Amino acid sequence: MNPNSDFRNLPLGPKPVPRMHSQHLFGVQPRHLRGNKFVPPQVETRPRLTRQIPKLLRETSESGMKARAIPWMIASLAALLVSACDESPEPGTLPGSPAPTPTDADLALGNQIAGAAVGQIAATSESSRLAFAGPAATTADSMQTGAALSELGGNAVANQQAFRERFGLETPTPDQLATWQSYDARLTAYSNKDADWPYLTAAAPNWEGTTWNGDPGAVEGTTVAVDFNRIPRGSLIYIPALDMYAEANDTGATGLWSASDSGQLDYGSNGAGRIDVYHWAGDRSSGQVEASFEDAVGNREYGTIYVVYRGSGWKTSKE
Amino acid sequence: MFIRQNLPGDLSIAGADTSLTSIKLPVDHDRQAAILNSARALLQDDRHSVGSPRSHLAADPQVGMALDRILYPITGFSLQTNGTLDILRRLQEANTFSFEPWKAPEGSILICPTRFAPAGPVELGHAGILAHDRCVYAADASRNGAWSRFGTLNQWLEKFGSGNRVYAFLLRASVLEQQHTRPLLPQGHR
Repeated sequence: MNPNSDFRNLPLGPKPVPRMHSQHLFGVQPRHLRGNKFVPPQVETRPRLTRQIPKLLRETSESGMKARAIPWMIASLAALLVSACDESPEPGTLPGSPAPTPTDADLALGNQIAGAAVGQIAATSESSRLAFAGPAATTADSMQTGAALSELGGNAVANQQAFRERFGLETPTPDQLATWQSYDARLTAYSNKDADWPYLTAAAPNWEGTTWNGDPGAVEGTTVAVDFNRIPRGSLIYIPALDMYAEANDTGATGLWSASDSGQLDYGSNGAGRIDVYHWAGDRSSGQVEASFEDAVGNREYGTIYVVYRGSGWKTSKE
Repeated sequence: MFIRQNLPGDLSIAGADTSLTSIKLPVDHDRQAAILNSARALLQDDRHSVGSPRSHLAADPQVGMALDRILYPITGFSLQTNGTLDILRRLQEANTFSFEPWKAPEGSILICPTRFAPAGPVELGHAGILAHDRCVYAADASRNGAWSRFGTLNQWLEKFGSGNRVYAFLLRASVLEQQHTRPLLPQGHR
């Protein structure tokens, strides 16, 4: 008999006499063999992966105890290898997911959950008031617009209203939003009390021309500062979070922003960068304006804005 | 919990997580109790605030409870915890599919567990639902726990996942057939 043949569990030849089993394989005398009462180990009958294993084991086995344990180890190893081959996860999935592809029923359940998540926003008027990049504002939302814009101080609400009336602007529908170019953006605040941008001089290095109502400086409720490298000067934009149309008349410390924000998503390929919303501080300090705005916008600081018209041509075409 | 002080005595919660049960606090039980009691007091009432509007500190940063209000009526499944680490464990043990966040289908639950070291820093986690518009919806601790829209998935990942590992789970339809216990809901909730 060829000592290298792996005949133990395969019907490929004569099997050894049971009481000679371990002696044949490993050269070790069984310790508890009495008469013909040998009880073979209950090893899983899996195909052997290599025919060399028995030979190697015979050289290293030293005791009957180890000889009995080794077939268990081999079987366990084989089972592990076989099972690992059978259940290797697909790339991109995490372990613990037996079936990586959801069924239609699973996806339908997900759609239902997603719909409920959006629906919950509509049911919570307080959160929808300032929801950044929320769905098109409803009538109820429009009623809240004043409350959101009042955060900008001064005559922000009245200015927005007059701006809309003059240029025939209405709160967009979802269909309208779909036709406008959307950008990832970040809402920030600046005011007439910023040390580096005092009122009127806000226009000094960054400003050209006048606002829609002839004001030589920034107008609360309709003026935002943007990175002109991303949004052309004078563009008309819509900010869903505030339900606000705005002129991009001003540009802030664009160079500084680019450096400090370069790693952020709103400076990615579809990023508009910061949308710095102008505030009339009134009796508030510059810091209070920023803190108040951050508090109002909350975690919706990052979101989507829409460019309704690139450049300042919209003013001449509508006037 | 991150507390922002705008003016003297004017405190507001900028961000919060309720993974307190998962944090290994000091062995000293007196110190444990003091820390937990202080945190709970801040989360549940504004007795410690001075000259601050009640709404500022009456925060309800219970992300799990907010998610349960969405999930339980539809699936019968509930998270039963507000801690982000516990939410992660619950979803890992539940009948779910797991995905990399950017490959997650709509309706997936995104979870970014709070990460911390004994000496800090603490990276606050968050949990929300990915909707049809690829935006994340969740409770906003800085807005009294109001259900809110947090921008696009990428923006949410940038905000919460920059320092933390983010996971995404989709509940299997078969969860509908299973028995579940009722979710944790505030008293008086219907």
